[in-house]
Amino acid sequence: MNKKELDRGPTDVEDLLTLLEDIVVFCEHRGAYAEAYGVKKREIIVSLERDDITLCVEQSISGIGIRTCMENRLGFACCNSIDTERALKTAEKAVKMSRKTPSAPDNIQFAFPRSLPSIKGLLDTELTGFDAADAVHQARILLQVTSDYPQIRLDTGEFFVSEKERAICNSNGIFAGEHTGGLSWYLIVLAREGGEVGSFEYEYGCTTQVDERAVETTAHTAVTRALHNLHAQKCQAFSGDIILGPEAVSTLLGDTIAFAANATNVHMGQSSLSGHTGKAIASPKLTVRDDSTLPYSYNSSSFDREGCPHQAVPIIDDGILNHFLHHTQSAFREHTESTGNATGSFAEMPRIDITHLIIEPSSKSLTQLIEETEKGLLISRFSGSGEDVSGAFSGGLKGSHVISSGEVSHPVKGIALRGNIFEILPKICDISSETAQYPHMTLPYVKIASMSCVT
Amino acid sequence: MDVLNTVVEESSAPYTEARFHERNKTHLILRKGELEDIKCETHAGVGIRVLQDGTWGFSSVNSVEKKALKSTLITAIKMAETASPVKKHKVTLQEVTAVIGKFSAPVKDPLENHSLEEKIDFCVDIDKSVLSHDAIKSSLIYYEELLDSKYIVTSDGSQVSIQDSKPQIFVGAVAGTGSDLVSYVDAYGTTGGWEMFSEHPVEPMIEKAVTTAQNLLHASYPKGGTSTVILDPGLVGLLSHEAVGHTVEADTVLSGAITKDLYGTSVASESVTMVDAGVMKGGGWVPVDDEGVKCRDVTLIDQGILSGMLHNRETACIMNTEPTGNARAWEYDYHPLIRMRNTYIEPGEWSEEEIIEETKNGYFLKGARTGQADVDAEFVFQVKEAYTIHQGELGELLRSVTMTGNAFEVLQTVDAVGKTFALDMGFGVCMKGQLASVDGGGPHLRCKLLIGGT
Repeated sequence: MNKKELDRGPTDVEDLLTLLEDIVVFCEHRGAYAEAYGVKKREIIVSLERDDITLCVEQSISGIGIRTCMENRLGFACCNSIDTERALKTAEKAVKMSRKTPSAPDNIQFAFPRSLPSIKGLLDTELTGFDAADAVHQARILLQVTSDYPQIRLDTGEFFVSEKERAICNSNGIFAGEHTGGLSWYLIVLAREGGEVGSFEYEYGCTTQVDERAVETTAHTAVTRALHNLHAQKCQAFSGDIILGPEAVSTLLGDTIAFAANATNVHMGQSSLSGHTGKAIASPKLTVRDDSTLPYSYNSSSFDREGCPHQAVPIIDDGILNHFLHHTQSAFREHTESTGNATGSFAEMPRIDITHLIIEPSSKSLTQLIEETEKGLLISRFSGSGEDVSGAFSGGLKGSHVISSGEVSHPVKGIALRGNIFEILPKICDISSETAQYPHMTLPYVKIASMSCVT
Repeated sequence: MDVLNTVVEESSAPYTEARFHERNKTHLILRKGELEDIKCETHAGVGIRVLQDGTWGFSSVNSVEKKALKSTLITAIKMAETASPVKKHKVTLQEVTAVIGKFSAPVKDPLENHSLEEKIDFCVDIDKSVLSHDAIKSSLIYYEELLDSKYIVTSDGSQVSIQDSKPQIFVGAVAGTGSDLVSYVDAYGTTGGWEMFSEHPVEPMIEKAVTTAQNLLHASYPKGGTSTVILDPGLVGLLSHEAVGHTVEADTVLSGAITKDLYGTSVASESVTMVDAGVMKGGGWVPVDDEGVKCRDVTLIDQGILSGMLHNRETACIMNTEPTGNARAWEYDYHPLIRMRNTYIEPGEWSEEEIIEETKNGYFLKGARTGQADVDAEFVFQVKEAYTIHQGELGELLRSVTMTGNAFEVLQTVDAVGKTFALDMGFGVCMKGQLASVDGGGPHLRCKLLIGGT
């Protein structure tokens, strides 16, 4: 282990780092390069169902994932313990596996130390004292807001508290740790009136700052949307502009872009964006980045699953495909640097994924987008299925409202959309200034011109 | 088991359940000739759930030491007590007959008897075989095995030991050039051992994946519209699980699923009988659930009439009925939820050939790719293969086909039920906040639904 190049990161996780260091040395003594990743976390979960509290959970979870390489042969083993004896047994398993696996076609690469960003607001010290009673109180607020409306039913919801120590060591001198934490919550509500049930609405919120929890706002937003979904009329086939709400954007655009921008999928011939770098793949209105370095952001942390620095990765700039998401192995293959997109839990080998996908908002409000729409649909949710590889999708549009002469007129149901995401990207004609948060995504409303929906 | 008994006996809560669960998981992924992922994971610990003051509390620990278990029990009780003042409707549990016994999955050739090298070589050979075809651009081979040891002790007297073994295989091929890509995957999983590969050989799966991916590349798109279709057992399984099964989980019914007011009414053709069963060989094999309740078969739809519901002890008490053994937790650090097991439609009398021959015009739909359904039973499924039928004969293959509809409206149109039965949901995993191994299937069915494409 090369300790000269240590970048410890903003760490107070010395015990975990010491164990990981011992594991790496243990593997090295057996002839293997090694990477050890460990996690210790405390979580409190308060679950809601049918307008009531259903369960309260508090538990501590810890574990270690050990990746080894011997003569370019890969091994990986993990266990849900940071007990030294169990950890070393797991290390032994990983090393043994490295003697059995086939030699990789490319040289197996572990990360090398690089300077880590200093990110403010990853852990609010008040979170340490945030206990089950506090979490139950927040859950109670969700229940209270929804119970104020007789038509509203809280189907499911959750308030979640997480405080996590994570650390990583490897044979190349990676030695980093971090203590993060945050609060997140969601609720799914639906409205009923006169024997009719409206389409459900999902709202999510998160923060790293205890004082900035906004469960009441989230609940009010969900309730307002669910009430608007009541009395939906059957819709005829429709042609016009559509405005996808952030939830629909996450399912249709977010997930597809995340898959296609994954450098491993590109290498494996499974991305429709392969060979399109530097080319226009979307409307100039669309800028997409992956960025988990924002201060005080629930999705932020200073290093990835391999110990590489997180950074802002420009995926699409003004419609031009700019950059794919890399971990160390894919970056080595393409003669570039990791973008810090190795993700996964201690029970998974590092894999490429988004950390915090952001579609850049514009300066134009949703109200303006609607006012500029002569004939359109405002869509809350997409319920259907898609093919990651081809981008083809098909499904129902839920929580849809007709826009007529620049105004939202009435909710509609029974309408479906099908097509291919990569054919839709160039048709994006506007983006809102408002955004909503989803797990690992921050997304605006997206307007798409001249779409045809079927019933 | 002794230490679990001690903790449960010493609990001050009116109801306590302690569940030790050790899972040894091996998986490996090969893509395009590269070993992309491999792991051996041990995930073990004890989950303790208590019912105190009519409120559930849960905690877990990655240890079986008595001191750690006692501390976990105290946390679980504290959680219930903390939440209790907010709880509106206090929980009571339906009385059950305690289960004491040892249960083992039906395994002929234990997975542990086969080395990791053998499993790697097996997958490497599959990958080579897929990639040996010039038109195949990429591959995806995924092998997974779950070996579970469970001990469940409840304060109502159940003491259960379960040994489970579930292998799964996934064979995928990608054909095409540039952005015109088509993928096809064939997957299979069950409860059992290495004998799965002699009972369900991989060679036909390879051939299927490679041939169909290439054929799909040159296939045309469907016109769309309401059509007569024949569904294969895989799609019947997905329809049964995703579009019907979730709407008859008692917690979903209580939340206001469409089925709430449909019990005792006709929701399907008289030829349709749908069942959820734990004690049968399939990916959803469960002999006793995680509340220590013996699993029993539940007839969900009896000759077209909506009749059965899937329960845990809490919902059974609310509805004054018997629990069905559907309370399942994915791993020790999850609490039990109502989940399906093997969900299927019972076979009828038609042969596959007869159904095709007696279909004037329509589609033969095979294999479930992905799918989504709401609690109103509206569903959209992507189909792996769709063939036109004209005058009783199979015609051309179509690509990117979806099937859409309301499950109960579709089931009302069933006019032919095949006699050959199969559980065939492929990689049978269901997500409902946590995972569950499930399976589904049935015979071939002829019905009417909306066909869509892209």
